Amino acid sequence: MSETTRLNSLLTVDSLSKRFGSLHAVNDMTLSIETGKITGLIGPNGAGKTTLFNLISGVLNADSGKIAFNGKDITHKKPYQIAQLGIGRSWQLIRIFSKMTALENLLIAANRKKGNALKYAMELLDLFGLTEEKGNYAGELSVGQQKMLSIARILMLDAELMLLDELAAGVNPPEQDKMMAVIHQLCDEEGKTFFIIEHDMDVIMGHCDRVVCMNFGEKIAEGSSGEVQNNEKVIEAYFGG
Amino acid sequence: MLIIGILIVTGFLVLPHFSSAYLVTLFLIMFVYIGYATAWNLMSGLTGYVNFGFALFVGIGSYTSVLLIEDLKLWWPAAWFLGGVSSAMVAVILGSFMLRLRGSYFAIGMLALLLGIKLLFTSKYLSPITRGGYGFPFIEPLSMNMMYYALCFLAMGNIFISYKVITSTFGARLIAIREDEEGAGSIGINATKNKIIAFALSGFLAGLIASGHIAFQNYIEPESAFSGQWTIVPIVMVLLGGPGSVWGPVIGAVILTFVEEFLWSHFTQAYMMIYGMIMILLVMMMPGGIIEWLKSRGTLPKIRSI
Repeated sequence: MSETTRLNSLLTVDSLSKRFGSLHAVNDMTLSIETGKITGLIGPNGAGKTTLFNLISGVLNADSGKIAFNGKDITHKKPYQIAQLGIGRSWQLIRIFSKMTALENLLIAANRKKGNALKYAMELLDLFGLTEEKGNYAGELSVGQQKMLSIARILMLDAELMLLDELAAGVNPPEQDKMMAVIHQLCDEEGKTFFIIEHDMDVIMGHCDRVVCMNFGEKIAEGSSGEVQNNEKVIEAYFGG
Repeated sequence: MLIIGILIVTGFLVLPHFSSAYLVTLFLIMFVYIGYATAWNLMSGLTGYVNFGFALFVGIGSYTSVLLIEDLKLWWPAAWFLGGVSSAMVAVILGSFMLRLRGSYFAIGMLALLLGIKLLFTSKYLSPITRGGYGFPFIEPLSMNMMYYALCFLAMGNIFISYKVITSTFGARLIAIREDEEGAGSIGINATKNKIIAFALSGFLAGLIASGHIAFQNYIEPESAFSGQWTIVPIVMVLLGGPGSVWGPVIGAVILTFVEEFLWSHFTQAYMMIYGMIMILLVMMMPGGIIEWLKSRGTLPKIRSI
């Protein structure tokens, strides 16, 4: 890793490892996420992608290695502390509060003063096209709307880095397009940084500035989407024996 | 709504001047139950952490206030207040480790602590202060009517506090913890801290009400002050009315005060058993209580302030 990429990187992961018994879920992982960019994380099932997210967001504790955010060591911080520092995450299984309204789901994550929070929440609902749903229970929304609500919720934290797990799964194409358009807008206009796990290669190849590919807990390739797409190890991981 | 509220409160205020001592006592018990049910609900109804050790707060608060009045001749409102403070302190101490346990482990752990601490109050180690397992008689320096007004005030205060908490961001955080604790952590909510605050508040209100509750009994002993009844009764009331809501615990407490009075006078031996059966039926047939049932039918709007 050269000095210049270090300067631009919001998150750096250094030789991170996590074992479950004899399984190396994440093994000696080193990567950096650049500010204001969309980075994709791909790999076959069981490659360790969600484990890596769980380590970064503090849900799991690393066995060894280091995670730094904005130059600050966050390796052994608790999930709520990491969230307060500015790393928001969404979950594969969405995990919004289904018995609260859409608006309440946002307000509860607010990191700012009351009146201000309400204004920002309304802006976010508008941005994601959810204004009409603000008074409905979140559990009553469509899967796509719930996913967008979960992204809006971590934006309420004023998070700089969003870890989004399985963003597009179960979301219909028009909603996917809407979601990706908003993500690009947030990157370009507000300098937000995204790190996304995704199985839909069209989403990854069409929208990510950089792509990291994992297999068996290790990073096997990293680069622009074109580079990763043509990488032999990646092709082997997906199609080979 | 406001007019009905004023009428009810005025009714409570003039009641002692018109009715029999029996009715005054019955309403006094109703205020106590409203207090216990709202206090239990603030912790367990909102966070979903079922506290089977609630009677612990009742016992600690009762003993503290009675001993302060008997031995130190403290002014009774101050003693009652300190009864609440002592329960809150116990809640903070126990909560700081118990609230790291999840779900049923917390519930069972609190029940075990209740039994253990009840035993401690009967033991020879604490008997120089508590006078041991046989208990002792005492008289608090206030009239029955004064106790009635004090408990009426405390019950209304509890409803007000629970309204304030449930409609606040703090209340929303507690509900988020109930819905998905890990998810709450991922949006920056410090679950342990919020749970301990709610637990302490629940303990404080329980200890305060308990101080008024014990005041008219003129006798205190560990077996009745820490009785499992003070855990079961509030839980059934909250489950009947609607956990996590403002008015659910109140409705449950009012209905069950009169049901209990009926059962107790007709089935003195079996009334706790009948209570247990009501609890099982409620969990099976009406899991959200009366309030949630009315909300799902559309009779009440789906807002937290009810």
